[in-house]
Amino acid sequence: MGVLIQDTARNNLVTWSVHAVAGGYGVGTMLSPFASPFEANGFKRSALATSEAIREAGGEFWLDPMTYALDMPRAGDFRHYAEWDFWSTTRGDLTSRAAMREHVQRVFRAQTALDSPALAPTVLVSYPDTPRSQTALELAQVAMEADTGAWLSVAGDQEFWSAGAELDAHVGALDQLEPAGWMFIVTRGDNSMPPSASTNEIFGLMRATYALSQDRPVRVAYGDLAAVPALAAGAEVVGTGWDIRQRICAYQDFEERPADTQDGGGWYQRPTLAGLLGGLTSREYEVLVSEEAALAARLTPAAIGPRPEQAFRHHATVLTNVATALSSLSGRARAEAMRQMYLDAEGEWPAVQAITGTRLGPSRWIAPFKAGLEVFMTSEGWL
Amino acid sequence: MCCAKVSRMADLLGTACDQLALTPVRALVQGGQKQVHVVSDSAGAHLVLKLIDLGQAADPAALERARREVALLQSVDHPNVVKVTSELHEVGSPPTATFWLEEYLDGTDLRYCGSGWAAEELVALGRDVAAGLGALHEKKVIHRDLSPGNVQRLTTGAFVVMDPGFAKHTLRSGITIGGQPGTRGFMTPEHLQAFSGSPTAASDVFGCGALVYLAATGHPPVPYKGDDSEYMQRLRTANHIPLRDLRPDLPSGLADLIERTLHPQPARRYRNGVALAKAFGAL
Repeated sequence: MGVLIQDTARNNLVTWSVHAVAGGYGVGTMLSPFASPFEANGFKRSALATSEAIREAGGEFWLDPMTYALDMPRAGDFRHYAEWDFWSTTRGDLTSRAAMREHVQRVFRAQTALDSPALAPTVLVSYPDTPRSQTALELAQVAMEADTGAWLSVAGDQEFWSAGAELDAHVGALDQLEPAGWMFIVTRGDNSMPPSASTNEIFGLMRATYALSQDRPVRVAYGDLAAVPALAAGAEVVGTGWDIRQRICAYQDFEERPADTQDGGGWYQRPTLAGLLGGLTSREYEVLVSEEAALAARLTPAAIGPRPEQAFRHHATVLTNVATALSSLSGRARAEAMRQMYLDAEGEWPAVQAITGTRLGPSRWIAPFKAGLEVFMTSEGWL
Repeated sequence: MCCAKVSRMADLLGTACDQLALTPVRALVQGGQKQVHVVSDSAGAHLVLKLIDLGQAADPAALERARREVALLQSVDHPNVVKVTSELHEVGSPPTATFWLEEYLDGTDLRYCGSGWAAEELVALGRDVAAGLGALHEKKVIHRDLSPGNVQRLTTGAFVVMDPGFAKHTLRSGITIGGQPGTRGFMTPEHLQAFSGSPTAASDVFGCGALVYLAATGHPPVPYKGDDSEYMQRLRTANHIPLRDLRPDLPSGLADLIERTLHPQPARRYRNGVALAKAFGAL
């Protein structure tokens, strides 16, 4: 399917999302109560106006309650979140079934009002066999009792997704609830790009995706290029955007910051090259184009305009094309196709590095993801 | 068993028989915390009396769950599930023992039914056990301790699931080597989990597959070899020899079905007994 656009601290979510839907490089938008207000505030539209605009353009509109962000270390940027009516008493109180029901009902009520699919709230889990994972399971049970047509979110840090039998057992328990679909979130302790992913994390994400996508859609929010292996395992959509905050779900992006700044972060304008399954800085890309125009054209491909929206359009198109190429395949053929893309990209990097001198090469853009994919394929007897 | 324990269980048997107007016929199981007796009622009909000694430190929450689950099981009326014919009775205040009645089943359990079964017998076993599990799963009851001693082959050839749902409520009577009680050789990877990943309906699916595997080969897929930690290590990944390698004479559809039931990831198995029974029915 392709790309879902995550919310942004900027006020261009609607316009760029509408362009993306119209241009075929975005399926819709995921609103965040940490990034957008419920009511219009002079800088941003109201959540309802955003929903209406996206849906009128033919896109999907989702409200992610992002309850899991409350569990992040130093989470403190509640400027917009405080406006949302998600809690009757203490923010984050899920200590009883009654408190869970109350929170779930408030979230579903907001989603219904905004014409968003029911996407259940979840907590952030660091290891999938703990009292916290039990809370995640119970919250999911409460949500499914409230709405049997809801999607379930699974939010975990890298340790969570790297767990072996414990992750499988936790996912198995969630699978018993038979939601309409799945939204995965990998949270990270740093927001470097590309993410510092591990082989086991990718393997775990792929195992869970492959198991659950057999009869339900699976999406990876904030996934971006790091979630491409999940596409290979059966996921249909990954979340992305034009800022790093839309491409990675990192703790520092939810920390308290001065109240009088919108602080959208820097535009992430590094060109993403399809043939590299990775990116270069603008300067490196200029060198590549200047020195080896044919190679640059083959790897890019297509033109990348100088403005931020054009860079985003190209990036989202690269992701959409990968998702589209994989969507007609399944199982072993799908994983093999993805591995071949990684092998091809890996083969292109040395020449690009020699020309551009880029610091970030295949060891960061390719290696951990390909390694996770290969462990997954080996576990399935496909490699 | 120490004399005090024997005396206590004898007292408990007497209490139960007095309370329900039953006459003891013979003992079937005489474990430390659990006893099973054939008894007869005033009309001479045979029933099975199950007694659990909870000890002095019985968990009130576990007792409450047991009450609810027995009530649920009373509502299960399925030919492949043993019928619970009484409520859960409690002895003492706070309760230190419980007992209940089940229907008496003729035949013998799978421990005494040999191995090397033909394909059609294996399918019948899997189909019946899966159907029984399906009836339990529809009531949100998980068996959690499916083992050869918990499935009876009747003289009619039908198979009946016994002891459903009680493993979780009788922790002291189960064998706990990981996070959950169960029977060595017939546990699932989820039995090693203490929290959210503990057994589900998909674990019972694994258990059903393990019983068919046992009947086909003479040993469970992840056999216990006398060392708990070594067993748990193998159990984590459900590492086993594929049925098709041990019984190449069996139809590939049956072997594939069993492999799916034994997948280490619960979400890769049939989701519950209903789905598994449907798969057996389609063979």
